[in-house]
Amino acid sequence: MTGFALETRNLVKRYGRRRVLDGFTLAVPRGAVLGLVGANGAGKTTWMMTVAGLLRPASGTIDMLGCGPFDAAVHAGRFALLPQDSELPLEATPMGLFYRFGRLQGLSSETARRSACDVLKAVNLADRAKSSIRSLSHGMRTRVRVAQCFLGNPELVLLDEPLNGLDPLEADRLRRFLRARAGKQTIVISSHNLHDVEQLCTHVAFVENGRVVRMDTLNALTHGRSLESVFLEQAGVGGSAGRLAPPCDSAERLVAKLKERGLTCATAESCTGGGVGSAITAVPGSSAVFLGGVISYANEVKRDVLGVPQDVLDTHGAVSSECAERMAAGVRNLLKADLAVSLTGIAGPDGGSAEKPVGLVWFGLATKDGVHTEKMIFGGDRASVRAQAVTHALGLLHSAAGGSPTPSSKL
Amino acid sequence: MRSLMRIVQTALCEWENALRSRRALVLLLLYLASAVLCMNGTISALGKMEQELVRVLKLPDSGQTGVVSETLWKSKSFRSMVAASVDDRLVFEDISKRHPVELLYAWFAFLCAPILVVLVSGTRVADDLRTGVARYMLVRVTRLEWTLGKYAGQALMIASALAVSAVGAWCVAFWRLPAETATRLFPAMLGWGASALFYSLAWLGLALGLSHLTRSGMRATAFGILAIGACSVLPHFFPSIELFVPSGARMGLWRTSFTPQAVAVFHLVTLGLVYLMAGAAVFARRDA
Repeated sequence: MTGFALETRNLVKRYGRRRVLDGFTLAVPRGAVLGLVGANGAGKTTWMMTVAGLLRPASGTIDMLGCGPFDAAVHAGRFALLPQDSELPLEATPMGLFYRFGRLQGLSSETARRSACDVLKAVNLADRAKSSIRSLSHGMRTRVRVAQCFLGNPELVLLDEPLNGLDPLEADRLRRFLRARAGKQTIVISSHNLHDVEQLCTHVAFVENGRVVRMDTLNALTHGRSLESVFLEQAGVGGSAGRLAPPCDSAERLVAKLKERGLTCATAESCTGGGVGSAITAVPGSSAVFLGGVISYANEVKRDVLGVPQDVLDTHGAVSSECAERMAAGVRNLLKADLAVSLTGIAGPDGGSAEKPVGLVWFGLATKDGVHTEKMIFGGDRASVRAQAVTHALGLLHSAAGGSPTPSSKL
Repeated sequence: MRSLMRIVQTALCEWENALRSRRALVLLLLYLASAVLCMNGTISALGKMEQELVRVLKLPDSGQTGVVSETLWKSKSFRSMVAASVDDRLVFEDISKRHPVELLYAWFAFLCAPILVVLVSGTRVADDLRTGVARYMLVRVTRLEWTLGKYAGQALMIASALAVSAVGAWCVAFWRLPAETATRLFPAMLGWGASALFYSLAWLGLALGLSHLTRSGMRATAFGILAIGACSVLPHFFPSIELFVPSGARMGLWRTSFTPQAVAVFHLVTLGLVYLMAGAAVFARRDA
């Protein structure tokens, strides 16, 4: 079982000549609440519908809950979807419909009834359980649509604009309900309301032109700034050149934190070719905290300079948890740093495989307590993957230095 | 087993929602009203015809509708006259043992069943795809299970309509005919309702199969009506097509012996499922 509840790689969906999904690569960590943020038509809804098996992709791979692409016979009851702009049968009652949905998900008669009551109570509709959906207001119908996603507590829930059309009181109630699920279920929320995303999500992915251009933990992405300003900056800069620009804010915050804590750091980089070191040294005064880095692009450098054993390279390959671990430990020992981060990955466009796709980056973080590794799969082109990897590495160092913890790193 | 359970649950969900839908309710009431009015009108017309016969032939007047017809039905010369108008001699021999009123109900049920099916059921898949209702189901059941569940649910719906119409028509017969005759007619009319249901299953498969091809309920209904027209007209020009259209197998249902009835039921149900699966196969490759 992987650490991801959902992984899509290079997903392509075409409507005629238009590529609505254009190599959509995203990995959603288990237990995360991930916000999908992007302009209208960016491909968020299409991605959700494709993942749910409702739309047929032209190419790409989907792995849902470690069981391959969506198959109702396998995933029914483990996965739920709130489709955008889709009505429930107007003649049905919420209670009657939820009972049937529960039974279809494999719940026993009694459990289905109880689960239906629970979710209706959670969205404050217990008193309308036996009214026809036709008789409910727009906001009530939205709550019913959201509630059906949580019948039987599925492991993975995709919500497309769940808070649209709700009054402030009910929106707040639903936010609290969703926040309470964090960690217990993996939830992906597509929303244009960045305030909601900030309040609800642990991770955020920016979607542009049918692909993920940036994905990280909310803290690593914002570093205390508003998500809206980060999003606008992303949208305003646009293009791979913009995404290549060093993440100055992340580096500045990291340097400040290291100075504050009196710590030093070092880097061992492969696919980013010194990008992390470059971002840190772009900050004035970074010499006080940054000892140096090793650009170990070739396996020989990994082996001879950082001490990665040849059998690790032969058995697991250079892009592996084991290699990232040895790289981080190696550079920390070599430069006598308090913290060291390593990166080894496949930035593309070539070199990927089914097992190790383009966008896969393994991170290692060495501290006095040991070495932790983490896998990420980034979307976008080579420049985008490298930029996201740099930002993520800075986030890891920041959290290890005592900054805001990043849920994905669990450090 | 799990798959069968999901089909059953989908069918029950479909049946419950279909029974509550306004469109279905209106059409069912219209069908019931048509059955009742048809039965009433038929009995009245039969009564008038019998009165005429009594007057012209100077027969003893029983005062009750159906008695003269039953007597006439037993007459050898009348039977040979009707036999000439029915192509199938075996069918004629079987139906000549039946009461004229039940045959009139059967005629009504068989005539209207395709229309009822196309109007009530033909839109169900297309409408669910248009409104997005299908999306809530298709994350819980496979597309094939959903299709089969819709079919079974609509079959339950049509069965309910036929049962209600048979009871309604029988109530009229009970009111208008001698009690003894009406009592004898009840199981027979239910039997004709069941036969009409099997006939409807083939049309249901066709209507739902076509409904998988579009997201517009109106278009699905139009496809269904065109299909009824094509199935009625084409066999006149291409007799070999009879085997592949519902009307080609219906005569077996008019027989009284088990074997031809069973063959007709098998033929019609298979035909319906083939139509349905053809639609489902197209849908399996499409976006929902």
